[in-house]
Amino acid sequence: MFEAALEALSIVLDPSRLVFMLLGVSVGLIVGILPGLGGVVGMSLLLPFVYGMDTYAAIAMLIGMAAVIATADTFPSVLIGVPGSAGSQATVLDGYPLAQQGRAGLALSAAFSASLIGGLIGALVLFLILPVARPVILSFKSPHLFMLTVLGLCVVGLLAGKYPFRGILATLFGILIAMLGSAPASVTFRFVGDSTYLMDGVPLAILAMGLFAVPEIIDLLAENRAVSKVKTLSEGWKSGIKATFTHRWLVLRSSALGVAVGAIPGLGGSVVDWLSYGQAMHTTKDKSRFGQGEIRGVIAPESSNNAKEGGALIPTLLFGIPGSGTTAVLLGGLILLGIQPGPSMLTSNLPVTLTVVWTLALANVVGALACFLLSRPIARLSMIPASKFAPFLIIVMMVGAYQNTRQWGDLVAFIVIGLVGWLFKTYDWPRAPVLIGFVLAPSIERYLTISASRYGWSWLADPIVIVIGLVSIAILFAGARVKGKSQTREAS
Amino acid sequence: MSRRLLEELVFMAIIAVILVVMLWAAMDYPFTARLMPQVVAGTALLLLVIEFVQTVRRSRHKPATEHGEPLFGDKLKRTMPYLLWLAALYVAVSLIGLVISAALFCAAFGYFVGKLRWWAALLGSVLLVVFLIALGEGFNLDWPPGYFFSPFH
Repeated sequence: MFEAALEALSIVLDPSRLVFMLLGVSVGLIVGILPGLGGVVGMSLLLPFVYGMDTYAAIAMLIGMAAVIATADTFPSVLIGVPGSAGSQATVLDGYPLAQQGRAGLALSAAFSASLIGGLIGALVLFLILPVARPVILSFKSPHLFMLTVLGLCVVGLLAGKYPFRGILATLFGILIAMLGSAPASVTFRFVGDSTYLMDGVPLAILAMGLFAVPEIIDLLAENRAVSKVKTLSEGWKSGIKATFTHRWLVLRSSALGVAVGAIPGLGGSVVDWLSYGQAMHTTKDKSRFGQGEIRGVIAPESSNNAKEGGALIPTLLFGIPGSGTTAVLLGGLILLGIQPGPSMLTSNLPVTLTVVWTLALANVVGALACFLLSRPIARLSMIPASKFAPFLIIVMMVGAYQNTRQWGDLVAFIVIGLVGWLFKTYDWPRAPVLIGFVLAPSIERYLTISASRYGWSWLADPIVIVIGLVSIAILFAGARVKGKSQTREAS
Repeated sequence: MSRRLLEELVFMAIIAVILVVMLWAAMDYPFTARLMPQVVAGTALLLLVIEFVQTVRRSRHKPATEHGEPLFGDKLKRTMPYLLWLAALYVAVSLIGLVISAALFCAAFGYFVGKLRWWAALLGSVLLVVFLIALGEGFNLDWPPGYFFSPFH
């Protein structure tokens, strides 16, 4: 294995392949910085170019792109309060308040250093776990995956926003929005009326941009101010790196969580940052600063969302089951290149697998360095008054929205969702859980339908299902009680 | 009852109506298509009732000043001009396509609202057009067509 790893390193460091990895990293940085886009969009952009390419160069380009998105998506999360991708939603909760306090530099440097460490841990775990992962992954059945997704949604709902039931309701709204269009298990178009546009459902990018960007821009304009409420970027870049090393155990815990959750198909991408945010909150004595600009609230999700890329590659490479949307497109790319993911990835295709591991590690280092270099000029954007940059941002978002299906419906959906998001913001309803519910809806519906069709209702008596169900209920009640108490304390 | 509370309750009532309509519509679907919407919408309705009660109870513990600003008041007045700018952009895109509308919108908004100097507003919109054209050529993107003409469509 060790010799094979060295051989794979020499393949990755070949200059002709290194160029393609850097190209993938560059695309990943741009896609990460643009709000509302994410790994799936980036993969879709690069996929047409892999036809006829050298296998290792193509893999370097695709993995290089996927690896850095979770690092670059911190820019919009921190600077404009819009998640750059699904995996950086929790970063907004504390990263954006830090930018508003003029401490964008601290938030960004802590996030990049945490991302770098998380990404390297993800690559290391992927390397170590390859031979032993198979029995664990295969032990999860549809009912277990359904209950794990429910658990994830409960945690997300509780953690987001001031009021626990509003968070959970918001996740349910997200699931319902995802149900517009064709049903996955039957030939039925749900809740679309006569609209042909809605038959394919609402695109994720439009929902994300509408829910987050439009309300922020409207309110920034109405208040006539910049993203940062103060005039200087006071706290520096070194303190961010220092904060990451001060909270090294949090980084390690979050990275481990990221790898573990990333390896569960369909669960990772949009839940992992919330779970690690939750554990950061849980393990901190003074919880009052969370949501107000607590640096631990940035470090935890950022280390886990980079580490989850390594985890998500475990089921993708070993069983051909994509761990996330991005790896689903990657899977398509591998098949295009003539590589069939499965047990052969540990035998005849071992060099390919190890190339993936090395590229993941190398791309994380290059991506984090590039983000550090770019962060000063990009952080200055938070000082520009909204009225000066808003028109350009609105146009870029409209262009992005229109590319989803290239119909006028995209623009209409974008603005309607934007106005709904604005109402949510005005009336203190959390918006991030809507997005998470939306992203997880197809998997949760698939798992529920398979469970009900295959096992009837007997799956509800499965011991693992019962345990996860009880944990979900316990978390729900305990969380609601804790939040209720803290609100009573605030009121008195 | 404060105006803010009334607005919040109306907002929740509208959501409840949407959920009831979804539940009702789902009844006609086959089992595999209706299972998930019914489970989710039913649960959401139940939680919405709890949240409705909790919102009313919370309002009793809070002084009226802590309820937050009502939307239909000063906030809407402050926001309305920007919503109208947005509406104007949409009308322009539907009539003359995206690229020209974007250039006009950015120049006008930058000059009148952003208080940019005329040459800075003009330069910004020219750069935006160049960026859009380069983006369109590079990634083979398409723009929303206008009713009358779409020069870069």
